[in-house]
Amino acid sequence: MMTRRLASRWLLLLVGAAAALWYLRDPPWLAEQTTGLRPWQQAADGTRYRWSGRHASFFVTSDAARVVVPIATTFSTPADAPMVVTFSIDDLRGTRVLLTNRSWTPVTLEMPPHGSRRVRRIDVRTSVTREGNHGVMIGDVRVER
Amino acid sequence: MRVWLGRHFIALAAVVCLAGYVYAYREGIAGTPIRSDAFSYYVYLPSFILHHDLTLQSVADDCCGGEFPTWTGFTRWPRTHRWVDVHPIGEAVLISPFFLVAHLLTRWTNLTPDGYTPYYQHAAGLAGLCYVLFGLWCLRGLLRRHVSAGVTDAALATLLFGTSLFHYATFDSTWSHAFSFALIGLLLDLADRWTPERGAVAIGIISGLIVLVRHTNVIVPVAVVGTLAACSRSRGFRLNADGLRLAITAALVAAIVILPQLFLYESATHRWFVNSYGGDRFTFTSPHVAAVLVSVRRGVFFWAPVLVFGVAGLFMTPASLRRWVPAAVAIIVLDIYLIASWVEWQFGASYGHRGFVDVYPVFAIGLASFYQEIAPRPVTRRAVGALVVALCALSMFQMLQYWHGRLPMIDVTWDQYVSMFGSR
Repeated sequence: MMTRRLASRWLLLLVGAAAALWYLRDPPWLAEQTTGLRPWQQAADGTRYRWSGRHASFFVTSDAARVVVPIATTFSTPADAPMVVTFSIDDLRGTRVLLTNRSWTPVTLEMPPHGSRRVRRIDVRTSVTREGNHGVMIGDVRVER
Repeated sequence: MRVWLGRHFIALAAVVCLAGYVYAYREGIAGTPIRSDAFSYYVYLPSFILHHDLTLQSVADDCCGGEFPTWTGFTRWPRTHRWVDVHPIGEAVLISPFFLVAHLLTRWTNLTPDGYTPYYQHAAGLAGLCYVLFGLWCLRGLLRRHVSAGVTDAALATLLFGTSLFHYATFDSTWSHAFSFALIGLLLDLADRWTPERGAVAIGIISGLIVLVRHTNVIVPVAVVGTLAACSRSRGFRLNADGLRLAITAALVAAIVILPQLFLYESATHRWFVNSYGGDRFTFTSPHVAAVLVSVRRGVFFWAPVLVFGVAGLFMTPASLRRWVPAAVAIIVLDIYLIASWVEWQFGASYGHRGFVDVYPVFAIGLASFYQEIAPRPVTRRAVGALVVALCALSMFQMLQYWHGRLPMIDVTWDQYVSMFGSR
């Protein structure tokens, strides 16, 4: 038979696990998380950007109605093929863009209605990569509310 | 107090190891858990479970632009152009329950479910830590049947703090050694408890997993199961029918456990048996025996001198443990020869010689026997106790120097070693 002491330990464990899950549902540190993005760099014209790999992700606040992501890639050799860049928001396909030259392309993502979280995840996938696993340069993201 | 410490030994070890783990990762001195060798041990999980891809190509695409970097040790098999991982799948199998929890949590938090975001990283890191604790728990069960509780705890505490075991439970917990340590500890415990009525299948499964984590560790189940086949408790060394039945059953079960690895080799190379390192990497005619034993570069007894007691103790074992001595000696001697014959005999970056962490459970038997032998002699006991405490303190100090980059990861020289004691 379960003793009262053992039962209280189980209860404590369950309460602790529930509290941890509640916290991890929408933790404040999530907004700062990125994956597959290299450190910030600055182009000669002063544009700030980060190189992605084949797959990168970052978070934006969930009150955003629209997000503008400037992207570009290199075409330094004739072998550098055009690049398809696919955006998804919280794992739902958002926009697909074809890059055929080295100029910056602002990609506008219309955000679907948000749920209960503070932030939303944006994934960027490229169809090919350049030398050294470089995907696209991602500039400062503009959030429109 | 002593009784309380003994009763909570594993819990205390868990708290200390967890504190070491948190320190290593909060301070940012360890990078991320899935790094270096750990990457290739772990890669099967994101590839198989998240990408449903047995070829590993999806992970190569996702992480690395289609080609794994050279440091990962992956090779493209010339004829098939498929990836062959230098490391087998065993560690990934053992991490998989932790990985599944991490995946569910990742979905719950809405982190990127790519296999490498923080929950996955620390699930793998904490898996290694948990397996070391499990290994200690198994060894505790084994030793308690033969020596006193105090001696058991002293031996295990010595192993944890006087060798590189603590390092491989915390800072480098995703390397294969934590997992091999646990499996070998469990195998020894199971074998010691084995009766003809039960245990053969479990011994076979664990034996198979040992080989799946690190192929060269096959020497351990062969020696352990061989001991059970070749000697009985009551009649000494003599082939016995029950033992032979065990050996056959365990070998068959182990073969089934190993089959997925062989299938992977076959699908990638069209060969069932593959040297994943490629080429002839053993130098059996010119082993670096002295270097792996006592050199400042990587000598196992130089970096963990308490293990000398573990070897000495193998010749003072209590009668009930004596049947394991030939197997223990054979495992240690063969392991020394294999490690010393490996072309990269330092095993790359490592604190102490990491090649021996796998067989620390064998040293634990010797350590416990040594302590049991000196226990009735108060003067010797106190002298050895003081020496062991000092050696454990030295080991922990050296380990922290390694963590903070004050010791090189490889090719340590005597001058570098001595200068460590003057550095802040």
